[in-house]
Amino acid sequence: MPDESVTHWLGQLKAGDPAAAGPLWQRYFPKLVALARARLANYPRRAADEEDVALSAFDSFCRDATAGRLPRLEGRDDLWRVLLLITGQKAVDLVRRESAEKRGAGASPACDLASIAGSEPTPEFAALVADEFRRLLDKLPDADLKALAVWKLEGHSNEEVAARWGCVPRTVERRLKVIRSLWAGEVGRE
Amino acid sequence: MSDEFGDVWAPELALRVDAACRRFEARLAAGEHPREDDYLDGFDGAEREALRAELRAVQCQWLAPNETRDQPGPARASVAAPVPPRYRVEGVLGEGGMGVVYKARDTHLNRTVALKMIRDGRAGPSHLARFRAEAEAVAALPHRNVVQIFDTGEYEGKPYLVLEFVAGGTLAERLAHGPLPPPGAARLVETLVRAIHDAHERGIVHRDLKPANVLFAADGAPKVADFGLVKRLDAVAGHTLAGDVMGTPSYMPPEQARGDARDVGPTADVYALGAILYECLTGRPPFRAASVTETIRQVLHDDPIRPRLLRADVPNYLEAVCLKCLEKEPGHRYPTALALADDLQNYLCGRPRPTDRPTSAWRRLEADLYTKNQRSARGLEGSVFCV
Repeated sequence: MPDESVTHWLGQLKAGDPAAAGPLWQRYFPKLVALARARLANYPRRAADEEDVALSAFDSFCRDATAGRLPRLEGRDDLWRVLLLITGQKAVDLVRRESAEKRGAGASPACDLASIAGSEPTPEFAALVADEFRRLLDKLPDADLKALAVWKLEGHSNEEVAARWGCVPRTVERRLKVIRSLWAGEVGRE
Repeated sequence: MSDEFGDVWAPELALRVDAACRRFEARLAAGEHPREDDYLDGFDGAEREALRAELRAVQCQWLAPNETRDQPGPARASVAAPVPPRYRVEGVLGEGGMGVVYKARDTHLNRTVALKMIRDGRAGPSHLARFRAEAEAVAALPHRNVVQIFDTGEYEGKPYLVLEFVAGGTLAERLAHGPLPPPGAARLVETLVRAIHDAHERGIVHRDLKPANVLFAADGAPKVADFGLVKRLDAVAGHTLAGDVMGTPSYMPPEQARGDARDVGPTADVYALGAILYECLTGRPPFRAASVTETIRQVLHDDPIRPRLLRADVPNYLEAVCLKCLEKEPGHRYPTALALADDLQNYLCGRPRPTDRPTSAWRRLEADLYTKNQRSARGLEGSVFCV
């Protein structure tokens, strides 16, 4: 029987093998997004905030995804992969801290990650995903980068974004690289 | 950890490479032929080669034939929103939440224009009428330093504007390279202020003045864009204060940041012009924080940092002008744009500054308390303040 735990799934994502993660993605992702959406809806709204526009766009995407329209995982550079890996890392850190507080060395973090992330999406993991999404969006220095992050999470292609911006696809690829570099720098930071 | 995210640059390098490439691509988009070497300053060794490779790749894609376009450049953007047949899209100048601004060719008059299409179709008839009325008001404002409106209309149920095409970039782009010399800053802002005064005389308040809305013509003349329309466009699309069109609150007076539209009059523009002067002198707007919420808090409650603390070469005179524009209380600012323009002219002519109300925080507090005391009918509130 294949290992269907989210720990295994994140491991496959981490190894850069989104295709292997496909079946679980189909099953896990809509539920995860539905839970994360509820969390996002509870954030206090900010006045005159371009981020709110991005988030409300994201909200309608979550509605579609919950109804079964999924973005494809595009490969190593996919922003969902990056977001989920960062969140997974954060969940591991949380578990590690909690078990260290309890009694020093505990069970292996990978096992405990499953208790947060679950083989079914748990509200805790979805809340972490939503929190990380919001926090990572805050790290992007301009509205264009924020919009790009949301569009990519919604599953738009680089060509579509290029047409929208009136630029060449290479520029979209480069700006995605900027996002990944800014987000990679955030790993392990509060 | 970073190898899990594929081939990543250091964040600081990524942002610098991206900024250089975007400047380069903007020139390509304008039909120019930028030279790689002009964009490599400040990059050495491997970083320089990384940037050079990126610039080449961008240029190759611009020049390569593309099945979805018959000309170099991303005319493909025209698929994003249909445009009236009279106009041929040549590129995208900007994009906001409500719509997109194209560089377009008016095939009847054979001239280049900026075509602003409203993407959102939720406009009701009364909104459209108001939108048109305001467009007409600006059309009646022929001023060398205001971006002219050539035409307005509706296409497939969505309103659009045809505007003068201004080729020389924005003040925001210029300020990205650093502040301006003080006399140049004063002259530029004085020109803008006089254009705005002309509009005020006709009952039009801009309400969204910021460096990104100041364009430069090919001959260097500054031109105010988005004249009073941004707010109207917001209304057309059924949006309120929130929304990406409103953008940054860095140039917004407190009364506007609070969202109280009734209080937003000509002195709101005086405030924004002061904020623009501040940024021209110091290279940064008076208030800018990591989040919009924090910026709004600063706009409402904090005093701006004195420009001379940021740049010692800012003249006392211009510092006083900035701070007077940026007063929280509209009544403490210049009463009219004309008064501000005259003060700037005074500086440019080398005349001494007329005596002003006190600007130190303590003296201002005293003056405010005095005003409050005067207003306080029974004196009870006032006596508390007087302790």
